[in-house]
Amino acid sequence: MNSRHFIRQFSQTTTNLKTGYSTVLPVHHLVKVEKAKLKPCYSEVVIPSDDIRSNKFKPTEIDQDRVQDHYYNTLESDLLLKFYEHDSKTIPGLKKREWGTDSPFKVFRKGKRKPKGSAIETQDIIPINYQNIPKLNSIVINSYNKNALERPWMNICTRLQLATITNKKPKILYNKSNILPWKVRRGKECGAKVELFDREMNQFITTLTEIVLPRLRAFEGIKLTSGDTNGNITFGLNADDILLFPEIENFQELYPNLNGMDITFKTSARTDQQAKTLLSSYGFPFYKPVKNSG
Amino acid sequence: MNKHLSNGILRKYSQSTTNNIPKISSTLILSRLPVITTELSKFEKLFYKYQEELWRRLMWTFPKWFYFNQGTLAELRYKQLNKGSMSYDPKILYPRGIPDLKQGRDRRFRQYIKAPKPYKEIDELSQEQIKEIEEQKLKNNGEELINKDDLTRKIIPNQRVTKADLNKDDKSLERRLERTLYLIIKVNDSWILPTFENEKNSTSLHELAESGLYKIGGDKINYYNVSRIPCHVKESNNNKEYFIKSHILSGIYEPQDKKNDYKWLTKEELKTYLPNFNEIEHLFSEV
Amino acid sequence: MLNQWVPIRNFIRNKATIVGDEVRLSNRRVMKKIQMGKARPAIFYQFDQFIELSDGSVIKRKSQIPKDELRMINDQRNSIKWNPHRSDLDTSDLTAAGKIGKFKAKFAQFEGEQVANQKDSTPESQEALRSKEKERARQKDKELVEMMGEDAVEIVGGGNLYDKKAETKRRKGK
Repeated sequence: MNSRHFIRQFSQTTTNLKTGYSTVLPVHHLVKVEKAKLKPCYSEVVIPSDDIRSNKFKPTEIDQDRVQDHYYNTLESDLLLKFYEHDSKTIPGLKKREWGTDSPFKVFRKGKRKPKGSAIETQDIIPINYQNIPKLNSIVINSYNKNALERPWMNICTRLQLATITNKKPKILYNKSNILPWKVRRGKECGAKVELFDREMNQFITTLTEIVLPRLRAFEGIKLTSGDTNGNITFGLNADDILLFPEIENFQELYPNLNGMDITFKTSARTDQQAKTLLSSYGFPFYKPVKNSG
Repeated sequence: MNKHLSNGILRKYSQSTTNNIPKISSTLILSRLPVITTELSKFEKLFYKYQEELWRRLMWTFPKWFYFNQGTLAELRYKQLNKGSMSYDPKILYPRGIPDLKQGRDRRFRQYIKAPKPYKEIDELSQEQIKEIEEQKLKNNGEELINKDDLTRKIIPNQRVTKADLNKDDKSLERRLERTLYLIIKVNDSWILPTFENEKNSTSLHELAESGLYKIGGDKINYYNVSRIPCHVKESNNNKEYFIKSHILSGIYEPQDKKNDYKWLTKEELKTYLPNFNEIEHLFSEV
Repeated sequence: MLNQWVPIRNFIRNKATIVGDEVRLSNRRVMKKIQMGKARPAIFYQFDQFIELSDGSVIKRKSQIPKDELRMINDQRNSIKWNPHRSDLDTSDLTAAGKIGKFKAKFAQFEGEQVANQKDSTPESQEALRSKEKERARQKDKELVEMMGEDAVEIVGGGNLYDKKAETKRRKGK
């Protein structure tokens, strides 16, 4: 039904020779195949990374995890009770709209119209049941170092700083655009980022809540206005705050160039309110920022 | 079917209203959360040990040159603690394999580094010092003398078993630190979870539970009410018993009436005390 | 002196030396290209670290620094932010005797209630005044919540400041 038949003519061959995949059902080869990896010498590459035979294998369950235990023993059932609502229904999120066909201009518009009252689409808010209790998926630590634009070796300090704090090797950030007054050039190193999961994430949480944040003098909490409306909460630490991490505090002379960082908590919660409740149950305080009238 | 239902409703309306108002009561599940990590089973211990050894095997060499500058006292101390392996000598025969040394580490094996400590360990002490400590031990009823003000003293994790455990004190909040404890009280010679009848017929369930708790247990309790929504309801002959979940954070439960007995018990122990345990078993934590 | 012949050492990176029938390279590190699929995961050397918190509890964590025992003086266990019920940690009262207290004493006539003079006020009267103030604020909050109903949740939305760039972008977009 979907296949289009064309008689090959010398005058017009473009439709037949166009790249792409067949639209005849069933459609094959939607998965990209890296042919290089099919060579017999790369047979190791094909083994999934959680298989012990793989070169990429990294043991993850190396120790008892008290934060995870606390979540499964206490928090999970508490959060279910906290978020449970009788007879609640799915609240549909804002979705992109059709342009309509009442005007010939609208017919040829590309893409869909933005949702009503918002620039971006929002998620459906599904009632909480035992299957979708909000959970912390990962923590992303992002450190943009603008000093590294002029002195590239400064980025080594930033990467080392993240690596010592998190016990995980960070990835380098590169500039995406050219903004000459800021010395931003496409492809230049400008910081580092690291995404933490499981034990590394849980240890980072306890380091923050038990050791680092309580010792910050000016720390009031995470702003209640923080959040991207989809249940991800972000807050920042500046260079002076990072000095309080035990790894850095005890060897201060090794880290002369510290850099501030943004910490994002990625949760499976559909709303910010739920995500904040989840984080506060992990021991992060929140505060209401005073509105600046000036 | 429909007709039957409507009949039922009609009959209900015809009855006198006073009998039909359900008696509402709220039951408090007051728990003390685990304070320490759970005890691992033998299998779990072995599993973690295996995984940790794999992890150590794949671990990079400790960057000694980064943390210890050459020629400093700290480096000297590090070297005393961590003797390097023997390097390869072609004149020697190695029946158990040739050492593969890089940065002072034999790459065939896992690396275990001893970190320098601010105090001296037993194997570093001289014979006289060990003798002195043992003499002190004898004077102090077999316990090692520890100077609490010394900030460089050795860190020893606290005992998992507390005094309350040894004394079998059911009334203490410091017993069974690795488990969740629940409060039960004795009313008319039977053990129950604290239940409060709604007499005023006006307050909400969690407020009813709160005022009731302060009434029987004093106001020295700092507690956290998990939710206003009850986690369980028990219906019997026009009685509705709602279960409210909350955690004790600090403070102490002091019975205002000295006759009222109380206990803090784990799930297994509750089994022998509560008569309707099977109905509400799912409300209690396994850990 | 000048006549003396001084040998000049040529530096060749990774110059091989032959000892017996074995070729040895210098120990200078040469970055080797790692083939696809041969890279091992990056796992830094980590110590099992014990940290004793201020209340005596000991936590275990993994750390890269060569210190396996740390003792904290200030941490979560004695921070007022994390323990709001502990009055012994509260240091906010210190301000009452400080600048704010002095200011209040000076300009008390402009406020509704008389504030006792700093000089002849006793700690007890100050304490009573403070608790009165707190009680009044609490009452005000309570009234507000009652007015809004049981499950009122305060909506916190930071007002957007005027952004010239965004404004022009928006206009252009139109």
